[in-house]
Amino acid sequence: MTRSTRKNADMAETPLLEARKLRVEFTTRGRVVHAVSDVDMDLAPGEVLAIVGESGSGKSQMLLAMLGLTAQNARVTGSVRFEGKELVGAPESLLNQVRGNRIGFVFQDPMTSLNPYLSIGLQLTEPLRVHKNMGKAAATAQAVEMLKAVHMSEPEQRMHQFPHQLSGGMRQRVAIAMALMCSPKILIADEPTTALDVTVQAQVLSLLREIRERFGTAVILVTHDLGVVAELADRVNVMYAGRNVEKGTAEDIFYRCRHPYTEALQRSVPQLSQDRLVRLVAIEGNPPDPSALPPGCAYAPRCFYRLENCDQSVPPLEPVSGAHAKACIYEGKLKYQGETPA
Amino acid sequence: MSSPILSVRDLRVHFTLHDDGWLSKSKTLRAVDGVSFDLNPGETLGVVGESGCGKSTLARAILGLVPVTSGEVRYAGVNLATLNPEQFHEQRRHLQIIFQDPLASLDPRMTVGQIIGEPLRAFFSRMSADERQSKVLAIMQHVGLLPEQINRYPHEFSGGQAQRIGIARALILHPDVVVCDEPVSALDVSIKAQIVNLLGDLQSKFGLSLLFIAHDLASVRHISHRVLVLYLGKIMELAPADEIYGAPRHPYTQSLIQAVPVADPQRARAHPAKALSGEPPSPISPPSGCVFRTRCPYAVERCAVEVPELRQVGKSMVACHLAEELVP
Repeated sequence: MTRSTRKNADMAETPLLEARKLRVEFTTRGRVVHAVSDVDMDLAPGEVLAIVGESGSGKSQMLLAMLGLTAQNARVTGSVRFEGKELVGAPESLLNQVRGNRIGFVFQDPMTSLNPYLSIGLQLTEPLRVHKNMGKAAATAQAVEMLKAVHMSEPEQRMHQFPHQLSGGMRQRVAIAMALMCSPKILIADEPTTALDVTVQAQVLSLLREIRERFGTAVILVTHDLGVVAELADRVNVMYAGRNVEKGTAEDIFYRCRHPYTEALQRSVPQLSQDRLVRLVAIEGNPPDPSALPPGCAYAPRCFYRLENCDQSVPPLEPVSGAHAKACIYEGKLKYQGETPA
Repeated sequence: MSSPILSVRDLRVHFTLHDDGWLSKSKTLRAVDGVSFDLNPGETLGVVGESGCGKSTLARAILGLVPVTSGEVRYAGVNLATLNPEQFHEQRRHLQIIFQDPLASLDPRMTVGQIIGEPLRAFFSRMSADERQSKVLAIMQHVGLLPEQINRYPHEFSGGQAQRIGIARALILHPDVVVCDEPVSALDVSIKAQIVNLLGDLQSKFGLSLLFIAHDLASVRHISHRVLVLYLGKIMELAPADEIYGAPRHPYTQSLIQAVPVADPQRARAHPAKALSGEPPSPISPPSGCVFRTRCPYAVERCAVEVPELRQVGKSMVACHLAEELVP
């Protein structure tokens, strides 16, 4: 198998986070579930990288594996380097210095990621007291500042409240504030707006945009919503059945995509601007079972452009041009490219 | 135009909340507060609103699943509230529901055949097992399930497949009206489109009238003839879909549309999704006057004093004092 591309020659700085051949496997009842297979990933300082895929595509497992947070029965191989340090197989003591300190995490459901028994203030100051050995008064002052930065009204009073007293949008702001307390280099946001209403989602998106500008934090945004991707991302990695099937700049992915799955994903998203009563283009069938992946390309059984050789071997991720790469042997033109969704 | 299959008039569903303190007064939560609309035969009416706006309560009230405080629900001209329990049961076969979470709405200990066939047992207790099975198999084919899946259990199915089971169960009695309570919100993008298309196909095949509930405007775009926008239990706008999307008149409808992120990076950079400030107020203590005024960018003094009536403006029904001035 060809080694994936070392691209981004224009990216002068060394990547902040670099994953090579990352693999996550679970053994359950004698079967091996391939959650993530041979994924390479680079994140430059200050950029927003979106990881797009459906449930079960391995996007969350990949991030959990990077921080040593996978379940006990997971086997993680490959390499993840952050600021020059190897994280795969690293001792807990090193991981604990990174997690919540250098890399902040925001989860999908703020109600389950906040502790219902502890006040907002206690949860916000905890990272500072643990990682920075900060005193209570200083930590509290900084937490209030951070609540202001995420546009919470009445920040001083909020410190004494509990998660159940806040609405979903406010809880997500608190979760974001908590992830930012130690001024991390990277903010990993796993479906941060999926549980929120559209109007509140727009608030959180604009908040993430602001944070990136104000603090220069790099963001890894995991989502299945292409609208959210278009709003924020500089670069996009598309995942399917545990593999990275296409990667490129947001423009590459939205205007010049070369993988049939990326194309199908775009065409199945309902758009406000489309004509009414036009049939959505559905992707037939279901994503494959990760413990019984089809031979060759995992997307082939659902693919509109399938060729005879598609089930022969797994197509490697190969460069299209510049940073744009795809894992597909079909070289022809995709039918709907060049057609703007509008 | 033929007479509506379902008409809802001034429907109110209020819940009384008892506080813990024994001296405190009980409060009233107005989940649905004076909603009126018609659903025509073969039509899809989209119902859109944020969480807590009362859309699910509205669905449940129509089906008699929550007690109605006041107002009428008429099915084919008959006021359902005036029926005795047997008569109501008889009418209910014409009104069915599809739920949001497909796996939670299917009994894990029943087979697919038993789940889909249960409405037949409830309404045609003397139907033979063979006849029931043949009807189940027929409807399974219509929703895209395979005959050999009849003896499987819900946990063996993915979300999209499980939703097909829920749809088959709702359709087996050949109802006239199907209330779809966020049927695709919990599904993956690629599966969502399959289910939306399936519902559209089944609608033309069986002549169904659909009440299609969703929390955002994009997902009802492809299926709705008309759209009803709810906020805090009240109708803000009710209009033909082309008007809602092309010329939204109510400030709330406008902000719902502006908040949807566009899957086009260049356009998104030029015009990022616009957030509506604040969050919906509590339905226990709604604002005076227009319930939307606390978040409305155009609110004037009059909005705090006078409740705007739902009235005809152009082709739309709008509940806003300024509807004429806010040219879309």
